[in-house]
Amino acid sequence: MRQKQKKTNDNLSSLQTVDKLIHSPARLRIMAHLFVVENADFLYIMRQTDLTFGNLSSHLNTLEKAAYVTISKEFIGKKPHTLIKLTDKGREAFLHYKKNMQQFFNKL
Amino acid sequence: MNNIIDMKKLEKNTFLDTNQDGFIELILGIFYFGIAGYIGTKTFPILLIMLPIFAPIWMKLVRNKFTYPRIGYATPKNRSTKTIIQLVFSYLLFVICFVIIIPLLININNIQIWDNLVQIMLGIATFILFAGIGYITTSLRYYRLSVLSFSCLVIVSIVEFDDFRNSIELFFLLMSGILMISGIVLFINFIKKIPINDMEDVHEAETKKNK
Repeated sequence: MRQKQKKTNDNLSSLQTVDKLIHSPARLRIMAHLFVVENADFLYIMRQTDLTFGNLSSHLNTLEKAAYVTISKEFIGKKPHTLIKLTDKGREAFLHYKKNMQQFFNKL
Repeated sequence: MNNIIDMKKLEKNTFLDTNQDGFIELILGIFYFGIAGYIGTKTFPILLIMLPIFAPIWMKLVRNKFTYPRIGYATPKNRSTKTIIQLVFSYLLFVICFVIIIPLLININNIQIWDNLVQIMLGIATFILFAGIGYITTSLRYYRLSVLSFSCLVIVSIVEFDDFRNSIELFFLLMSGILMISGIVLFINFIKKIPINDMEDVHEAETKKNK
């Protein structure tokens, strides 16, 4: 019984190593969508994640501060265009998060 | 985790979402029309075959105007782009070899078997192309097109022609008609369904105003 409880505790403690920055549902969605493309613009990510403009901006700022994404602004004609790209660090972090979660669910 | 976030499904959805404007169908339709025109007239429509080859350039211009302001823009991964380009070019090369180069190099008109073989080969190639895209993208739209190409093959096989070239011409005409119509319908639906989203533009203006 104790052994079983210890095993469960070990499984749960593995969750502590999970990257909390990615673990937030909104940021996880952003990272997952950016992971399958080279880069994407703001509108594309906003449509895919169903986040509002302000919400997405705030999450992207958090991810940019962690150097998981790069945000570049350009003008196409007179219109502003924001391009978002997952950095190598972000890609690695996402893969690591994915592996961690996979291990956790496999142990359950 | 793969079950929670299915990355492959996400990649397929990205492809489908960025190609929901019907341009793939339009490009293939123009290409087939060019082939049919070339077989029929042996003159200028060969230029139409060049249109799909330069598609990345003119498609970007058109999509900048109509598609990206509606759904946004995403660059597919280099790996996916390479695979798609390799697949499309192999197919285009196969069709061009079969329809234009081989008949020019060999006086194959005398061989009766060519008459039936060419239709079947082209029908199968088109069927495989659409079924392949359907399988990769899990989109019903491409499976429908593969069934349609098979139907066109059956129609062409039933009708009797004096010259096998006429049967190929009819096959390409039928396919180009179907593809172009479906491309246009998809494009009109896309324009109607999704309005231009200038939220980023509005937000930028508001930010400037607040400053």
